[in-house]
Amino acid sequence: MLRGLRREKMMKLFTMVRTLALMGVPMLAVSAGSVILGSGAAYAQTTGTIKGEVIDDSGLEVPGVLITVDGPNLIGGAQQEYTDDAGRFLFTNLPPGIYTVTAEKAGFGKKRYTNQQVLIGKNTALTIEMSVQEAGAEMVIIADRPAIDTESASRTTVLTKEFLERVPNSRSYQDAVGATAGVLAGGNPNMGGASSNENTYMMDGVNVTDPVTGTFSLNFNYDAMEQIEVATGAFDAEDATNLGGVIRLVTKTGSNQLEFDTSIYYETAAWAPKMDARFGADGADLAPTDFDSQFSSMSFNGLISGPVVRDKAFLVVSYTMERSLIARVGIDLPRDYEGHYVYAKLTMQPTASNRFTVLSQIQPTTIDNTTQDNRFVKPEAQSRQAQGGIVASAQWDWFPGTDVTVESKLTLQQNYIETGGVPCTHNKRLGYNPCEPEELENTYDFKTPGRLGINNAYDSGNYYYYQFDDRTRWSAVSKVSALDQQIPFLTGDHDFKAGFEVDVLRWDRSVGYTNNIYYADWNQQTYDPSTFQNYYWVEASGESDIVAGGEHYGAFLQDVYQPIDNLTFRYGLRWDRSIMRNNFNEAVVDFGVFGPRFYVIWDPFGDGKTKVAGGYGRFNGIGNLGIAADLNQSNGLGTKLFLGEPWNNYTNSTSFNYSLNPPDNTNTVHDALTAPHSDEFSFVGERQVIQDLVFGVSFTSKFTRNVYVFDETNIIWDEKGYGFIGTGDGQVESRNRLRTPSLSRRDYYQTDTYIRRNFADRWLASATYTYAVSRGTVLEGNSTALAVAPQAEYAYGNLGTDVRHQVKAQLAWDLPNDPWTTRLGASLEYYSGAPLTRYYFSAGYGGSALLREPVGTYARVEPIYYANLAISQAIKVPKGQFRVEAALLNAINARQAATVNGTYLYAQNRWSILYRQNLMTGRIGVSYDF
Amino acid sequence: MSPRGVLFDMTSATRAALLLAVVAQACTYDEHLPQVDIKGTVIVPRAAATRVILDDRTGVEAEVVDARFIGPVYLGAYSDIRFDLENYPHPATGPIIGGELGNTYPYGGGTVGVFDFACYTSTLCKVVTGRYADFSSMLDFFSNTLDQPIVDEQGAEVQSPDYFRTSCYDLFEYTEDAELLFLAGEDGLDFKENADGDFEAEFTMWRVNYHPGMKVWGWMDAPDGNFDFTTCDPSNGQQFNQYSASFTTGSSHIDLLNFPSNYIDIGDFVVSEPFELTYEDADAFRAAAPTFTLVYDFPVEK
Amino acid sequence: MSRLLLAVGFVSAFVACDRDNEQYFPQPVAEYPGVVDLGDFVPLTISDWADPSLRVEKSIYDGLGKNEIPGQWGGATFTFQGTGGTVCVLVDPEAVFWVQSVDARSPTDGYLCEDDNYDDGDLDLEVGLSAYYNGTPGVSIGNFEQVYEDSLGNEVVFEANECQMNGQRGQAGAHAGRATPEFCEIDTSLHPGRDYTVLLRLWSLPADDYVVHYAATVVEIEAGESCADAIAAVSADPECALPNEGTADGFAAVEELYCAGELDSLCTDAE
Repeated sequence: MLRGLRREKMMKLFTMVRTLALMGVPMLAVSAGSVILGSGAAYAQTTGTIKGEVIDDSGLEVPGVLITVDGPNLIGGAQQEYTDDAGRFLFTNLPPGIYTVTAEKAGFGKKRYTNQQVLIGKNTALTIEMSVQEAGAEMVIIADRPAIDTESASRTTVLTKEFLERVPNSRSYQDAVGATAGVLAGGNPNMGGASSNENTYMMDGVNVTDPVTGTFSLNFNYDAMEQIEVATGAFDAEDATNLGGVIRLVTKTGSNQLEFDTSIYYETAAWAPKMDARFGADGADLAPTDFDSQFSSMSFNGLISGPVVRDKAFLVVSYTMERSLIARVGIDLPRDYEGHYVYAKLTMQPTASNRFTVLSQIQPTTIDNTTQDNRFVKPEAQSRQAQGGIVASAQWDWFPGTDVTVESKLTLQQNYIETGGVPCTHNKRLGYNPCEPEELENTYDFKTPGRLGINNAYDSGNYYYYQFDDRTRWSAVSKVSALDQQIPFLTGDHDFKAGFEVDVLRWDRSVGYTNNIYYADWNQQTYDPSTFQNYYWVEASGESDIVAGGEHYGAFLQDVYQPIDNLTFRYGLRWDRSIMRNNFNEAVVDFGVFGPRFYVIWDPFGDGKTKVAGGYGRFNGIGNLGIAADLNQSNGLGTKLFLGEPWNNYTNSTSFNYSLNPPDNTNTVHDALTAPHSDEFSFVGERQVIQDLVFGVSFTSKFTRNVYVFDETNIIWDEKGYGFIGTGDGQVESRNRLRTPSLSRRDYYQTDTYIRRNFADRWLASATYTYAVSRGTVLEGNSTALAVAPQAEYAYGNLGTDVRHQVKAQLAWDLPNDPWTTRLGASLEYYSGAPLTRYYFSAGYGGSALLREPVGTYARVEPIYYANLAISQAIKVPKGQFRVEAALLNAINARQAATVNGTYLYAQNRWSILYRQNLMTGRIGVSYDF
Repeated sequence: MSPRGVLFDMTSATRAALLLAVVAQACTYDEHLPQVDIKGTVIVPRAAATRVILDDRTGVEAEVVDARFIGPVYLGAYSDIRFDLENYPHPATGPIIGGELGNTYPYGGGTVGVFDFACYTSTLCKVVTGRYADFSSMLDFFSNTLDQPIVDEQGAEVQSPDYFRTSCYDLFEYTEDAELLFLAGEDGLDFKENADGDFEAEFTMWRVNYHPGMKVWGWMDAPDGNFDFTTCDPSNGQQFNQYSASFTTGSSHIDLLNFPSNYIDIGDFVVSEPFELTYEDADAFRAAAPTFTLVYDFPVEK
Repeated sequence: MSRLLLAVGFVSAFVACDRDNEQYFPQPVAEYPGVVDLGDFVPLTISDWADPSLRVEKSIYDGLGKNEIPGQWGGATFTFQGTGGTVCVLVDPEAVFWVQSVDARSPTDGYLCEDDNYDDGDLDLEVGLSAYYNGTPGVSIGNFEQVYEDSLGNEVVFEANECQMNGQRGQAGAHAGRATPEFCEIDTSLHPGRDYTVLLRLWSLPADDYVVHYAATVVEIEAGESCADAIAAVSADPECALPNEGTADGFAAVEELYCAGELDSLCTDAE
């Protein structure tokens, strides 16, 4: 799924993954966000906890203190409990947000702690000191906020609502996560040195990862986000198993207040200074010219939330409309994206021990003019893509006893992508493909020449076919948590958790060919359509229908054990069983694997301001339907290639020269597959230097083994892997075989040094420097780069994620000019260049396969740097307030535009500037809320 | 036992169990690939490196022995080698499908030396890897030994190694000599003269489908009088489609091992005693890691 | 709860926007089954071929629709007996190979009407000994893949199709594209009198009526002669009994009739 905004014209520098490039995913995020590290991230975790202890003047525990926790997001009303014999208290299942904690007991002064931030999956730990001398008085504490979670070892960053509102980005969660350390920003980011298809995306505890590609599948309303948690490593056992990171979106819950927020934003690059372009988006030489790419976007947002039943039921409904027009260099028609995201969440707590949450998200979207890499595509030969999907979820949280929660959830996630020729329209704005007077809107016309790239339409790489692609996940998740438990004869406290989950996946894709043909200029240079000089065309058989399916079962046991107050052990075991079937119902991926985790966290001074943590975790790659479906070739998916005049000599039997990619399934699976897995060792040290300000360092080493690759079993190569000298079965065809060889591996090291100042007292600041080394043999899970591997060893070298230096910084300040609040925000991201991957050319069979490294000098792409600035002004009106925002994105107008023809730098290819990473754009917005 | 003791006992046990599970899972994985890499030594007779050269100045013919005369050496693994199909040992063949001889269906193969494009079309299908140390060695050989000077695309004789290098880097966008397969360096030359005066070289056959009882056999393609090779296909290889100067870089024919008799001709040397592999299966072969010698001793005479 | 119902209804409405594809795919046509067996065929002599009326009379003219079973190949088969010499097997997926306007390389040059791109289908030709054919004639389309067991017991799936065409890089299994004839020389000298099966595999259907009309034939030619040499000269001539055959005027007349959609007035089988 693709978004429409500025990410569209960004390129993907880091991963150089062909498949994703073909999907048009290339993007680089703008920075944003708050940076609050800490917290064990739970698989279906959407809430946080407040815990602590009460002590008196002499440091002794005070039992029987009435603790009250309240906050606007807390459904069911304020919660209360008395401290136990050890003076401790614990409140669980708190929706993220700002809370107030009050402590009171006869004979002591009442204490109230305000502005306590509850984060997703995080413990907000308070030590409350009560004094007899203060009896009868109430003291409000506003400057004592924990900034470090001293019970967590995981590397997570939580971007809170306050930060998402203030630090400028392009208003999407995909962009926002780029602000975090260890994330190579992009529409589908690389996290922790992993491939971009190895992350997990969660929305309100629902797994919304694309079941086929392992990438994100849906877009969401930016203004509906309460918090975004970005976890890059050291996950607990209850966390989703994967080789990359986890992005968790938690949306707003609503409150007893009726709230209304609407906004409109407009963004354009029309006025931005132009920069020289040497090549068009299709790589063709252009006379030196200004970048003439077009960019503008508009979004309208509306959100209403409030009580359906006071304290019992909150409803949030949100709507976003996005429209963007983006054209690449040399392309006339801009890609026209129009998406509508509708989101609704109903949270109900009819009794103190039961909470129900029902949510749904839908997002019908159309994208016109999807071909942005060929100057010769005529409007009538463009294609339309319709996409969208649904998330529907029902969750029941049962609180049967003190600190015990039983959580059950059923979800459906489905997304679809449909592509085809441009349907007719009565909308004259589009200016092409008008419907006949009696014709229905959106009728696909497969009859009229010219609409589908026939003859003079020059439709290259466009959707000469049409595709209906549905991807579905049904899942059931259940989890039991028993926190703050004691075991007889054993000192200390335990947080036990156990859970089980089932996912059923399905991929149903139909592909049809409207007229079995498209034309293209072989070298994208000179061509002569009248003679088809330098042309090829592709003919494909009529139709195909693929249904792949799979199941995933997961279970975990976990304990967080605190033998003494300042020492925590987090350990657990996770089991995953994964079965992914191809079109022939063969279980391509079929295994059960364990993922143990063990972490130790120490607070050496016991004051909640220092943390030294480290540990080990194994994470398993359980595959996706895309891996299974690579074994899916079946009748009807073959293509023929017609080669134009220059290639006439290659025929030897037919009157014309064609070749055929056989439609038979020529792929196999090696008998012994094992799950790709990472062994990760991590260390983190943090210290709260002064109130709200934290300094930290972390080190991670992650060794990933047995990554999926294809090798080839039929073709017999010469000693250099350059040409081939025979075939096993006498057919000059590849017989690809899916394997998980030990040689297929990645080694990743990351060191972060950071300082962050959480949002408080009107300002926040954060800066991170990351040094990362990423080396290995394959980056991509299921590497197609080695699909035709010659009979030689894999080369070991720098991977696409080997971006050595990364700097990220954010700053936001609310000027003290109440009530006319002015907000300033700024962000910066810097990445040193990613390495280019070079392969030997293999003469024998259509391409290159053998990694050239470490021979030769290796170029890296240009460094990327990106800065955003924003200022907004609140204008109070009698009921509510307006806020006017102006933002400058890519304020330094960096070029950031280098990429390589064909993704990989083949010997004869060139380094070229295809299109800009991002234009400098300006954005203005107006919002109103009450 | 103190509570703390219990704590550490339990934690250690848990940790030990977990680590054991990890180690077990990591160490027990064996792909049991049915393919093996076969390594060994090939010996080609001195005659294969010998050529009669006519000295233009003196008019005297002289025998010159030079490893650079040795053509690409092919190796294949087959179900059987027969002596009744051709006038030289030849792999067993399968059904005849519209041809004169059936397909051999090889299990795998390899080479010692491959055809590589030495940056000028005048060298097309004449340069074999592992034979030349550096640019100078090549220029010397083609000019003085073969009397076929390398010429550039404009037809001018290439005399400068630096010019040679520049041409290659420009064409392929390479950055180091090591990227040019046809330059082996002094230490990387394949064939060395042995005590018998013959020439021997190491070989690797990558990922051969292992079948017990299979036989490794091969032949060496000797160049003809014009220093051309029958196993090279000038229309194969990498394409440079530059419209006005479209050419291919040449590569071996793609069915050499399947139909060897189509390519073996007079002057070539064939293995008369194939090496039989009798290990039970691929795992047993890997455990034994044998190496062996293959002698290309059978001259093809017609 | 009414809000919940409203939300559910809203969601349902949007899910309904997700379409299926049936209306876009070719559908079976009752008159033209997708798998047919045409029985035995007696090869033409070269003199038969040279006679336009005999050529039409003795060759096959037929049509193929979509296979009723989704995802399975359609196609036609017929058999002939090895003559002991060389035969040329030919299929023309449009039965109009004299009308050069269907040549994808120059669809319009020099001709009166443009090619109708939606009228083009494609058949791929395979020929081999009937003993090697693994399909069931008239029921399901197979291929010429068979298993060979070598002396060590290793089984290899080999291709016994003798009509092998190779692609640009020598790939096996190449075939001409839509609307383009394919032909092969088959040397039957090793198997005189044995049955050969000709397989016309249906690769793609024209978009207009989902029926590909085709002509197919087997012609005896001299050993060592190529199909192109033996039949190319006459294949470019009008197929049917045409006015002023072989002249420019006659050719123009054919084109006019073709463009007007009235070619049937001359050729009963052609479109």
